Amino acid sequence: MIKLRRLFIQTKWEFLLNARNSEQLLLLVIIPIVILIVLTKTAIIGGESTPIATAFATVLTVSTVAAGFTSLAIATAFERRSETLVFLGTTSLTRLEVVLAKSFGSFLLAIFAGLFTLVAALVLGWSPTLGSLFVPIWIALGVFSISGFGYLIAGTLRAEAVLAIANAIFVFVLMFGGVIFTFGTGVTALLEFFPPLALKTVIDFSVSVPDIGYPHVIKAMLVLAAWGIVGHALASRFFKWR
Amino acid sequence: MPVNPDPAADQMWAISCENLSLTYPSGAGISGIDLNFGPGTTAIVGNNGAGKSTLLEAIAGLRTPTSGQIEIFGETPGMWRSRGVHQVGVALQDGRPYPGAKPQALLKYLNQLYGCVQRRSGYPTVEFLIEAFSLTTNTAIKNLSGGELQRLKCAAALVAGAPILILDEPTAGLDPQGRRDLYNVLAQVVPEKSTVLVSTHILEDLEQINSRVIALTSGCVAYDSQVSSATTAFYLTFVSRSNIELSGLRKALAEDVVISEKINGSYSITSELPIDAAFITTVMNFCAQIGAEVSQINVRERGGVLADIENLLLEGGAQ
Repeated sequence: MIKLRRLFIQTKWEFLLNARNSEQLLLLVIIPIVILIVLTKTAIIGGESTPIATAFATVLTVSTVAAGFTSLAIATAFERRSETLVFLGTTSLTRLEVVLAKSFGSFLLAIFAGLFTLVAALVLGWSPTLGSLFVPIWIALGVFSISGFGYLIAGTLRAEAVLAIANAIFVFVLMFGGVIFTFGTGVTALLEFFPPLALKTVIDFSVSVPDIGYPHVIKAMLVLAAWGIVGHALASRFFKWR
Repeated sequence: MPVNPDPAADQMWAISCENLSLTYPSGAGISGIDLNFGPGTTAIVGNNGAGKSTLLEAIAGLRTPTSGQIEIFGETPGMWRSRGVHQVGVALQDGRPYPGAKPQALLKYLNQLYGCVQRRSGYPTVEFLIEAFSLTTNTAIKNLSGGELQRLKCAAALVAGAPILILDEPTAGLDPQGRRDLYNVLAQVVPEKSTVLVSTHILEDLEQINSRVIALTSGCVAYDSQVSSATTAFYLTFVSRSNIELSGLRKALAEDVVISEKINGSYSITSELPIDAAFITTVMNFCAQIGAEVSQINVRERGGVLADIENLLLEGGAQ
């Protein structure tokens, strides 16, 4: 049985612990803002500067992947190694509450990072749209789509291996996920079936004047939901608490 | 810490383990544990790998038994958790929880968390625990010494305000003075009528704990003193192949005695009054009436318990 007050206390604790971590600041705030500036003010990527709305969507996607997968996986793996997870088992929290609090904490981290990015985007000339109000929902869906896989590697591999793999996947997503760099039609069609580009699609739909069709957005939402279900099912099957 | 009382046979036990077994893939673990615990302190002793942590973690609900069952105040761990109460405060031997946090922040957060469940009255406050355990407030948990970490874990277990307290090797890695200090603080801060289980492999600790003593060897109960190590007591032990109905024997003796369950074929009767010839005759007559053949009758005074356990653990270690 989930007790909401307990869940709130645990989520707050998780969020504050992570938000105070300087590595998180680099991963969630500094890197995304640097990417935002590079995309909008230079022609390094793709031979021309990216429109601010698209760049904003790109950076929100990057910080969501950082919070919902990389940061979550590394933090959980090291908590498993320090037996913090077993310690939580001795408290009044249920296992479901522990997992939900971690996911909600990651969502709040992504929103927290998004606020910095929002300020940067406004400074760089982005004009808010009504659809932007839906962005927190897309970030939540994005966290859901990838956090299961974060739990999966955190709960099955050694902490050092998780550190290496989670960072490697993050860099791989930046380079080849179709979020920052664009690829040919065939490759892009394939990447649309993976969470990073699907997430960018739905966020882009909300923060820019949409030239993306609804079927495309609905497909992206279904892709995110499907990855979330598969990831969490695998995690609940294979996750080891110690 | 509270001294072990003599629980009546029909009372609701704080902890009841029935034919409890928990086997790891490697084969080690615990096997066929039948133990009951009422209010008071019990020390679980045994060599490394004897099953102390496994038993305590099973009672705490952290490990699922392979067979048998555990009840906490008559309920399985799942039942009391689903009722929204917290019955067991636990300090685990291993681990360094939330290494990036500070002790005071951890205790305050736990205090908020346990504020969502029913706590017994008189539970210690965070400020009291910080002062009692001399916890530093500005050092991250990852930088605490071994002694500071053990004290923090004990404080974290106590802030739960639960009627049962499990301390798994709380003095591991501490020097003799550190061990004495920790037990002195625990003696002051553990509320009355708590059921406390403390595991240790350091026999000198038993003099500090003043408790009932249970020795585990190879995952089985090899010894159960039944009474506090500071209580003057007399023991009558005998071997019987037949199973004896303990409640009948207890009635026949009509004295304030504790009769152990059969351990390795042997029964043990503990009395705080001297065991005389009439007492022994009553036991023999009762056994004769029910057709139980008795052998290896032995009577001794309190004082041999620690020596017995030491011999037992040395034998276990030599095997």
